[in-house]
Amino acid sequence: MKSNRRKFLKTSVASAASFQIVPRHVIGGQGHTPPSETYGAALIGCGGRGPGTYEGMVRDLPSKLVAACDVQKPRVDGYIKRKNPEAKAYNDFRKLLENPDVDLVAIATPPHWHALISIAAAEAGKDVLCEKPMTRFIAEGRAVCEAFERYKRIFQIGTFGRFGASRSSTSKTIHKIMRSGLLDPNPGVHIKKGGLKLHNWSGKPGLKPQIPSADLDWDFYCGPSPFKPYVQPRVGGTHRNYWDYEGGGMCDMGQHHFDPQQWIYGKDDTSPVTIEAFAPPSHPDVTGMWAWVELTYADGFTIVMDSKEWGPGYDRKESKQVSLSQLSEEDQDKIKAMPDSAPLLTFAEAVKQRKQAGGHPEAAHRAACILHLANLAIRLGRKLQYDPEKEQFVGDEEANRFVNVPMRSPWHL
Amino acid sequence: MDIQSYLDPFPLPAKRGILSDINKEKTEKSVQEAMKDPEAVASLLVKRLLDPGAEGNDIQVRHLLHTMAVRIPNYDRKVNGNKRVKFSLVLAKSLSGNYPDRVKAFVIRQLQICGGEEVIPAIGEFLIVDGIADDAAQALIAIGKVSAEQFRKALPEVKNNSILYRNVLHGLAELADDLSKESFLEALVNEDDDCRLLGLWGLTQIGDSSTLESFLKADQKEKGFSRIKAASYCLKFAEKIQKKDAAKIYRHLQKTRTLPEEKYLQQIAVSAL
Repeated sequence: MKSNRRKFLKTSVASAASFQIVPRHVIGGQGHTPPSETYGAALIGCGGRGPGTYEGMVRDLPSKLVAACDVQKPRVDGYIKRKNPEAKAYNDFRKLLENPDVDLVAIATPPHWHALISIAAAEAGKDVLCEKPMTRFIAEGRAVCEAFERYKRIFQIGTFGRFGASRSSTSKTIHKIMRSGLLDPNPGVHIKKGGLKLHNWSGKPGLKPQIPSADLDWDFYCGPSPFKPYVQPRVGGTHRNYWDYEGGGMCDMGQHHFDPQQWIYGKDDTSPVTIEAFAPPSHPDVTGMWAWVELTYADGFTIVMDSKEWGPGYDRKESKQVSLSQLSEEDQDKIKAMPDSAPLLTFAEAVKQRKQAGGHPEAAHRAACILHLANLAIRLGRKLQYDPEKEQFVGDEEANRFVNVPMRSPWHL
Repeated sequence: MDIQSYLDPFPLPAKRGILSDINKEKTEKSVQEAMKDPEAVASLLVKRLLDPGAEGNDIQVRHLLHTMAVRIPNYDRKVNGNKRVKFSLVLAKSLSGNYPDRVKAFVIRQLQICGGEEVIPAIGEFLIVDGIADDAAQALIAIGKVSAEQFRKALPEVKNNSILYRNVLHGLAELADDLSKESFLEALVNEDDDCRLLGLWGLTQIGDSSTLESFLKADQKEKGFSRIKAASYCLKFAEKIQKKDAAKIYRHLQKTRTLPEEKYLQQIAVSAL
């Protein structure tokens, strides 16, 4: 049964203050560390950002590495040797999640695994810090939200800009104005110029298949994504350049930028309703060039990505910040009288207090949706109408095939 | 028809091997021209697709064919036409040709984007072909529930091949095929962990309370990660059915998830009752 989105959010917010289900660590139990001692922590995906993601997760938490996992054995062995030689090494995340000593899981695999591992970790009773981008496609994000709600686990996305934004007085005022609904239609236009690394994270098509190294389980690496002949750039940081695993610089950098903006502009519970891009035809396998994308919310608030790396610059609207001066004096007083929203909890605070983290699943999912919607407008070459409640495109059955992309057996949401 | 003029505007790898030298105006014009006779163009493009390991390159061919697949549904919507069906049928027909598997897989992936009911039988043929069956399954799932018949038809033929069997079961479960209830029940006693879990998931997807007893009996036998996953199916199943039946599932979890590390499941079950 699919939950109604608004109802779901209300439930999530309500439950944020009343998470009752404590982790095994706090409960203790036979053979386990007694309460309030040390959290058993694990890392899945030990290359690239992995070690940094792990350190971000355990910051301010008494913890020790008890397990690590990677599809490339030398990587996990090397990480454990450096970090804690007593920790257990795995090549299959499912085996790691069986380990009752693991309370916290940092996920730093390529993004085509983020949702499935996050969900499985919640099902195993673990709390999660997951690298950005949260997902590879929209339906994955909804499934992550539902899993963490069902299991009352803590989730934090691996980008933290919203914490700083939520402490700035200007951002707090904009946030209040946006959440108040007093500014309708909303004249705000946020333009992100450059910084989305088109050239860095564009793929190389037409490479000849190679034989993967003996220490790489290529079939498992592909996992839920289509099984394609191996070429080296599909692994390592350049996985970003393939639609099968990520979504180019848009997804690599986008969540960093738009996650805080989404908080400032009060859009953690919704998504844009129209999306239009200026881009050439997209290649089937690899990410490439685009000029700009314009995404508009139901209240008129607009987000623009202006690549500055290809094609004409965006010139349809000027950047416009939301401010108190756009309201009547009476409404300004209402905003000034509004209390600040509660401080966002860090992952460590959320784990200790059993309350929702600042980068919680719904917010992280909605931020990832901005990127997926933008990429779909680029890939499909048409203006898209989107229903943020149903999380479906309107009147475009073929576009909806990209919202929930079938996975390779046996993987599923 | 010479399709080279349609292909020339599409870029070949430039500096660093990426497609940065792409011209929107020229490529869009080429697509528009190709869309005037999409059947003929598609037929010629398929002939120029190469196996990924073969000499030469088909970068421009794949780029144009994919662009047509992505955009043709919208061309039809604008003019109330039926180009999509004709284009898809040309691609589907090519699947019976003598092309390498990876070429057929690419064509199937394009049908995953633009194909409809008309291409289901042609794709369904590949559910029993090693190495290409997963491409076929994902395309059929994308097309929708109407393709379930193909999976049902393939099932008896793949019973002795665990990879293909798993692929077909997965498709039936993903499509929540009510008519496959018996197949899901049968999978619950399979030796393969993934097949048993797919059986449990299939039953969860169809949410038929009459299968509850078998479902819960099978759940109890799972170990390790499969036990964790089976518990998640229990919770999802409970969310789909009437409160009275759901209570049976929650009580079952309460009774069976008694290990110290399963206390969180106990708590979920208790709070749901």
